[in-house]
Amino acid sequence: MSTSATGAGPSRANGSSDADSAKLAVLKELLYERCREEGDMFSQDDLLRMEVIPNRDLLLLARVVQSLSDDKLFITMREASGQVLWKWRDKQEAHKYKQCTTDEQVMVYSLIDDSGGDGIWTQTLQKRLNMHDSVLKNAIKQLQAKGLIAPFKNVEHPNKKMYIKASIRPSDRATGGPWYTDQDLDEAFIEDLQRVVFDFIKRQSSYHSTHAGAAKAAHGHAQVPKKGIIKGGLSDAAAKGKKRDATEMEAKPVAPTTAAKNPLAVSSSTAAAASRREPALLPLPAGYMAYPTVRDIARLLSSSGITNNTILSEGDVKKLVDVLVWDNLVEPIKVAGKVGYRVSRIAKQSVESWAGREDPSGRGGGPELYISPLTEAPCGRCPVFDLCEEGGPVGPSNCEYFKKWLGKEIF
Amino acid sequence: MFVTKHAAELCALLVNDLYGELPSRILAALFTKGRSTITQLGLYTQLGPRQIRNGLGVLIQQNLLYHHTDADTKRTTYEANPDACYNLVRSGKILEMIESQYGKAERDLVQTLLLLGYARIAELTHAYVSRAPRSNGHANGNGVNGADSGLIESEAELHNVLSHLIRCEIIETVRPQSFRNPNDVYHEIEAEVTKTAPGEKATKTKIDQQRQIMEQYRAFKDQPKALKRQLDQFGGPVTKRRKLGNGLGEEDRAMEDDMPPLNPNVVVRVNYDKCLVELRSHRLASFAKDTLGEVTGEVYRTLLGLLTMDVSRCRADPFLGEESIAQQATATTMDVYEHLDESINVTTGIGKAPKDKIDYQSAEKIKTAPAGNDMINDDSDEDPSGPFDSDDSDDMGTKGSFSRRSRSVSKTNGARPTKVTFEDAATSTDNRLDQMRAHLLLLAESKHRFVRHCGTQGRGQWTVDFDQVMERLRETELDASIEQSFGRHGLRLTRILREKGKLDEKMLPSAALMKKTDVQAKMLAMQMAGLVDVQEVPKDNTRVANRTLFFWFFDRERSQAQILDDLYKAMVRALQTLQVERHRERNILSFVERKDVMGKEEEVMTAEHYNKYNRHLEEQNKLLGQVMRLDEMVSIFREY
Repeated sequence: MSTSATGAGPSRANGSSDADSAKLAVLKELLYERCREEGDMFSQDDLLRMEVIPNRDLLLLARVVQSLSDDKLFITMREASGQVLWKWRDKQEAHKYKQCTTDEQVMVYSLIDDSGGDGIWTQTLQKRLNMHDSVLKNAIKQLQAKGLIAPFKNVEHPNKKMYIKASIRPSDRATGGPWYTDQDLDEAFIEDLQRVVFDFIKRQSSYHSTHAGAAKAAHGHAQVPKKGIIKGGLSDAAAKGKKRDATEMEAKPVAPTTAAKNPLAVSSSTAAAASRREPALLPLPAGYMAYPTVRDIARLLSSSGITNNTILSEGDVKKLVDVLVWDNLVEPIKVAGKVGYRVSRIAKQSVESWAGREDPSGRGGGPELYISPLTEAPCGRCPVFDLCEEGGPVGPSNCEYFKKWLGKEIF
Repeated sequence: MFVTKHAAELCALLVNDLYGELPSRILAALFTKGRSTITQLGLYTQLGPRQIRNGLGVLIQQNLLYHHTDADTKRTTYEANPDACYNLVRSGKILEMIESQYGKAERDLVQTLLLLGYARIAELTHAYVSRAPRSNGHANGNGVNGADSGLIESEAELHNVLSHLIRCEIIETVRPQSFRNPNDVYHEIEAEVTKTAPGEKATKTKIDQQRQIMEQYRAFKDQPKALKRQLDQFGGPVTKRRKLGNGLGEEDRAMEDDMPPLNPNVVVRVNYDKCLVELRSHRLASFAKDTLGEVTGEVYRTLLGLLTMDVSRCRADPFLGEESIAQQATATTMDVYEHLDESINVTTGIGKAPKDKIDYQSAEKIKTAPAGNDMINDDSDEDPSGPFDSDDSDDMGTKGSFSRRSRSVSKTNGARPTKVTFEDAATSTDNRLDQMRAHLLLLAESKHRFVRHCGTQGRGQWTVDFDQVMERLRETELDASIEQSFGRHGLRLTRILREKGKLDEKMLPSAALMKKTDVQAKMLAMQMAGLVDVQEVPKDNTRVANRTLFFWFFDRERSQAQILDDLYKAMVRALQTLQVERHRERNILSFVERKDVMGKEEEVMTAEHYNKYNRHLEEQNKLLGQVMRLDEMVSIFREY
């Protein structure tokens, strides 16, 4: 191949003697191989230092490099400082330039090649090459027919016609990373992943207490602890606490508000509250170190295999967790210098898991958020709140929403 | 206070509900027109001077107005006091709080004072003494209390209760100055101090003047507390031992028996500022309960009770600045432990974790100064072995090992359920203390920063940075209302903007993991609602859309102000709906109000009417309950 390359390369200096061109070919080969061994980018000095060129002959070096560039084996680059650098190109890649039959094709292909994984827009091609529209189109068509380039869609510019080298895959920026399926943001995928992550964080950042009060323990269904760590002592302790409360309440009358404050007293008095004391989640003691970190979550996701073919990097998982933080579902906590995540508002979260639920109403097992008093009543949710005025088209005297809220039939 | 249209409407409505239409109309005029004289009021309201004087009398009696008579012109101007008007809605809450914190007798007294507005002590004495003999069957409307109801029955008792409340700052004395707008007073003092006599050179420096202004203004602000100081001198630091939570210890009142009798000519009224401090503690405790659990909330409540004992107002006075808030109080673990209600079972509420997964060092970390804004990034990982706090860290080490030991004790208890631990006094006290400490540490660790662990004396000192916690609480409320109006995605977008500041429109979809079109629709909806706004920065002179950057931002102050106004409006609407309902059921209601029907509604009315009446009562409860809950939110955004 190298010989053919030498043969095809126009030797600029004189090109007369065969010996000269043979020598050039050998030098080219040598320099190219050395570059491949040494690294990535080379300045003129670097090339001289390789001691391939006899006598550090600059003129000779220039000829060799020129020839290599002509063969597309070297890429010429210019640094910001103005220094010229060279990079080597794979022989197979260089060979593809050979398939370009016309100069236009070479030019178009080299631009597409340079753009790499991000691809290039046809308009940009035209602007850079200053070609006629039909010439460009023709070149692209031929390149495409040869299987050198391929059209693709960039998620950042979904309406632009972009081209990329056929041999490489579009970069993450162009495809949008793992969140995109066929150039569309895969919202269902994200939502499900969020649920899984939320459940994982909830499980790992809380203590699952059966927390059955004495009344519950009598029924017997709360006796089986869900997790291994829970000992029978807990419900026993609750029973003890209960007993003590009762005696104290007999001893001195506790003000009603205090009674209401005391969870156990409530559980004995009102049935509604008692039903609330189902298995509950408790916060873990301060300084707990094993809150799941982004790495833990990433490991869970990759080991569980729920992402099938998509591979999520730690950065991707961080994004996912960040969104959960912004949604006020989990909160970051820094213990002993590392940031872990735990579920927000732990005391109110349910022990059910969120993921894998069928009911489309959606809230079952999901995160329990704080409900604002404003939005609970009609006014906070009123679509015509801004218009509402006594004497206006809508007002307190004819408010449908309040009627519904108060449980009245609409007249 | 800045009064919006809906706030003024609400105040007028409240006054209308409680004191009738006349004062309400005058108040509405004062709100819309600002400070006025009687003649001007006559013009605005189309009322005769006699009626206006009557109405003003009612308003002044209820402390709802500021009034001032200029010394030179002898003209009296009246001005609405919006805070006082708004406070009317809180009466019920305050009474409930007083009863649970102080006791029945105190509640009774405060209720009387709320009804009266303000009163001379002599009048109060007279009222209570004359009522005493028939205390068994009095028609006070609030429950039929037996003889041992804890109500005030003698003059001595009244004075005890009164002086106790004065010392707790719940009740303050009224002077002519109390009816002046503090704004005016401040400006008057300022003018007085900075004024130079003709020919005199302005020699005083700015700082000096400022100090003088502050002093005089503080003297003005402290006036109502003069009596408290006087009482404190006699009684020694009794309030320190105030029993928190449930009822006031009897010994507490007994100790004040030898107090000198109060001057009967002193005029007293309820101090709302202090009541708000107590209400704030209540709200914060339920916030903690909501985030971390019941028991932790109770521990927090006890701590707050200790810390706010000497705090007389929630927010620093805008004129005095930070100075008006006393040196930040701290409480030790032992203090909290002593005051904690014994019926609270501190063993529950926190999960167990294996010892080796607990980092005691970071749990027990002492923070001497309030933390910055971001807990995760600012933490700075200061090593405790610095020259500063080397002794501190020593302490920390021993403490850590101590709680470790006790934790293992509790573990063995759990493993052997047959052993009854709470009879074994020595360990159970220790245990209880440690378990309570665990709750405090949990509070300190939370992202809401409920407490700050600020010292090591007495098994750890604790303090609360109220402005930070309140900021978190406000944030939570705001988040909740955004979440419920604009969904999870709306909340997500605003939280991103809050965290990052102004953000290019192009960055939002990728950060929020949302579709570009969804983001745009959501942002537009929120812009319409005034939550977010966009800033356009053109890249060049052409100002075409594709050469322009669009930066979204979230204006916290504006959205808080807006939500506050929405709250006022929602309250007004709830109250108006109540009025509408009352009007609809007016026949039944007027029937129920008859003397011969009151008390035996069920016997007298027909089943149909009785059911209707009951339904109306339910609706009323629902509406008023909603107003109370909205008020809770208003307090969070405005007062606390």
